Amino acid sequence: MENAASRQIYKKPFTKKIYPYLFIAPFALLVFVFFILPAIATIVMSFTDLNASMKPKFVGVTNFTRIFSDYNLPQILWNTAIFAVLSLAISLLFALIISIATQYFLKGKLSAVLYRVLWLIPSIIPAVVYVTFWKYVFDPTEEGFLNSLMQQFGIVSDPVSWFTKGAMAIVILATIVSTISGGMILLSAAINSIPEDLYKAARVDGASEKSVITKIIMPTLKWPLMYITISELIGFVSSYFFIMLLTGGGPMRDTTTLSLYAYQQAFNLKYYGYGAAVSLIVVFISFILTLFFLRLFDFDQMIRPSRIED
Amino acid sequence: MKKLVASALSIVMCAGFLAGCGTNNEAGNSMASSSTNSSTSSVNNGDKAKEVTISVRENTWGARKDNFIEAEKRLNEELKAENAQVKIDWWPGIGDDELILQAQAGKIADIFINSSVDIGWQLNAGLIREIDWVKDSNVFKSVPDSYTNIMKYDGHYYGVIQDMDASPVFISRKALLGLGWTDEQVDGLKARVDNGDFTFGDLVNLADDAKKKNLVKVGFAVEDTRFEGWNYAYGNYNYDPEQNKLVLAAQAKDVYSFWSDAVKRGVITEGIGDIDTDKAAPMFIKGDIFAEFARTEFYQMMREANGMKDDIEGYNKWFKENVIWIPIPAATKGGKPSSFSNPALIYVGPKVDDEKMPYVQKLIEHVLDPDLQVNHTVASGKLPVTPEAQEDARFKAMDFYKDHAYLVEFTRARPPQPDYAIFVKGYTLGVDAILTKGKSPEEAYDLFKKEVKQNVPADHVIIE
Repeated sequence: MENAASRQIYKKPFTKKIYPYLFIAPFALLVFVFFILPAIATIVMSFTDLNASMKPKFVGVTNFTRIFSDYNLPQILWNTAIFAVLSLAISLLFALIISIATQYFLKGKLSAVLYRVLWLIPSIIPAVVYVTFWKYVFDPTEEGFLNSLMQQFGIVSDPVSWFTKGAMAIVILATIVSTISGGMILLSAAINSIPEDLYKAARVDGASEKSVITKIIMPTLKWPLMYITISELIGFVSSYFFIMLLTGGGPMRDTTTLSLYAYQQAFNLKYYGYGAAVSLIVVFISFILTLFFLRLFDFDQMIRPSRIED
Repeated sequence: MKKLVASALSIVMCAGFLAGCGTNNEAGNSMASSSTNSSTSSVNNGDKAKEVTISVRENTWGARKDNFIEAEKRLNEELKAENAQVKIDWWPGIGDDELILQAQAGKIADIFINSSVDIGWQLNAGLIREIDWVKDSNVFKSVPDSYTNIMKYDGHYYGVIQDMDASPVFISRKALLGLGWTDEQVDGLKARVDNGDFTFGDLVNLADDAKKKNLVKVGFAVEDTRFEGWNYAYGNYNYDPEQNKLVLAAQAKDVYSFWSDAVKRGVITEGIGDIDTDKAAPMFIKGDIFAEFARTEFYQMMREANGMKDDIEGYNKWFKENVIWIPIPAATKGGKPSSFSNPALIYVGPKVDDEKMPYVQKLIEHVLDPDLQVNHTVASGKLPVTPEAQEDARFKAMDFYKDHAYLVEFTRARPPQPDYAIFVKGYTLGVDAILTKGKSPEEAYDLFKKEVKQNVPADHVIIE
């Protein structure tokens, strides 16, 4: 009897094909509940006049036509473009410079490590604390860091109202400082993956530092740069948190971006339907930009099978 | 053997499952019963006292929570004769978004507190019910009409005023003395404002002089962006309660003219909206600000900023030597001064039925017991709302608050119209345009009109 039992082969309860689906099911469920469903709800909401009364009525494309007749739209689109493009360009440039400096010129040195850690600090500080710091720096009273400094040096006699003079510049500055580290880490890792032999060979051939950077390092950074560009650009187009905390979109609407406008409509003024429609425009813009950059960086080439395997 | 184990396991599991169902059923019954009771708000357990559970959604700000707990005790003493007891079920919560989400989940508290400005949208959303018993309640029989108006909307009472504040203008006594005023003149200023002898324009002129003579660094400062006081001074009330419509009146231009003039003269700085009240308090103490347009709470903020949180006597002495306060003067000679407030109302949720309402009413009435109102005044700096509370010995001992009591006779609150937020956003954009872009009053007014026309439904606003 024991022999017969030992001869029995253990049979798995499910077929092999089902296991992958079983493994991804919990995460797929989470994605469905926390991403897909809210997205569907937002789309549905955008076709209603849902407000604080919570009695939605289907209004067709009224919210979308209202967006395009909103006299604030040109300024808000312009603000969004300025904020996203400048933040992206400057943070990318700085990330590139820092990663080349620390991973190529100062490679292996303690100062390089310390410098990178220094740049990481802004990104690990909670946003509210970070914003409080910038608010202190640009405080419009004499207590503000910049104002007290300038008064001590006799540059100004009355405190300057920084947030009315250059709110967008402050917002971009704060955003850049906190986002540089993300790109810096990815680019540093990519540079680190370049074999030392390549540098040695280049030096033997008499290549200048400029040639090493442009012919060896930069081509290696193409795909990381593509990823950083797309992810940060989407982040900047859809971000509103810093701006909301720093300036609230003001003065007037000078720092109101499209996503902040969507937030204000939905949550400050309780026009949920209209806010949802504006947020869909943000999604649409992000989608178009993503396609554009995938094309620009020739994404097809990256996912094409390597020629070595041919 | 395996089959045996499997059978045994199945039997145990089935038994457990059935037992679980049984337990669940009982729990279900119990819950259903509890739920039924909850809907009728009472449980009658024969000889045991009838228990009425009242859910209260509130935070611990001031003495609000303590007052509800004390009110519960007092009511239960009263209810002993009826063999009934009230039990508060606390729901922590704050913020409109949370309130809406709770309502969407079917969880609307029996009692909750929100601003008076929220009546309109809360009613539209079905979050509150009428409480016309307020009309006959002894607690409110002698409150001024200005309070009754705040509690009423669309012909019914929808909220019970919980506390009140006023909006005095705090003026630097030292700056006035520096301008050559005598102590008698300084002390007599409030009476002049009350009589309409001292106008808003006079105040702007004083601030201008004080700034020119370098007695202060800032002419006017204001709490957050509460610009209502300056609107009301010019008779620009933004609202027609008869029609329940917002009003974009021509007086708005006068207010914008004041802004434009004050900015040009340096009385108002372009960053006025960026100076938080907690920063304004130390600045005022230092003598940097000529006049701070704030609420009664600013009195407490200065006490803390002065490091005199527990030294009330010392602070009152300092206050008398350094500060005077006046209501907001009228714009024209002989006009009445003004004051505004953002009072909190106690609302009753729609699930409270007629059977439960008497208990809810009594609980709310006890929350407004005079001594409890004064407890809240001590903790929050807000003013009590009934004349009985204003007669309380402790309140009378607080000179600053006691002297403000008369302001509530003419204090105005923000209108409860649901579109007020977007309306006032348009108004503030006009102010911003003057402050930061150097726009003229006419341009600011046009911008305000453009915003209102675009964003406020045409049937909710009268554009004069």
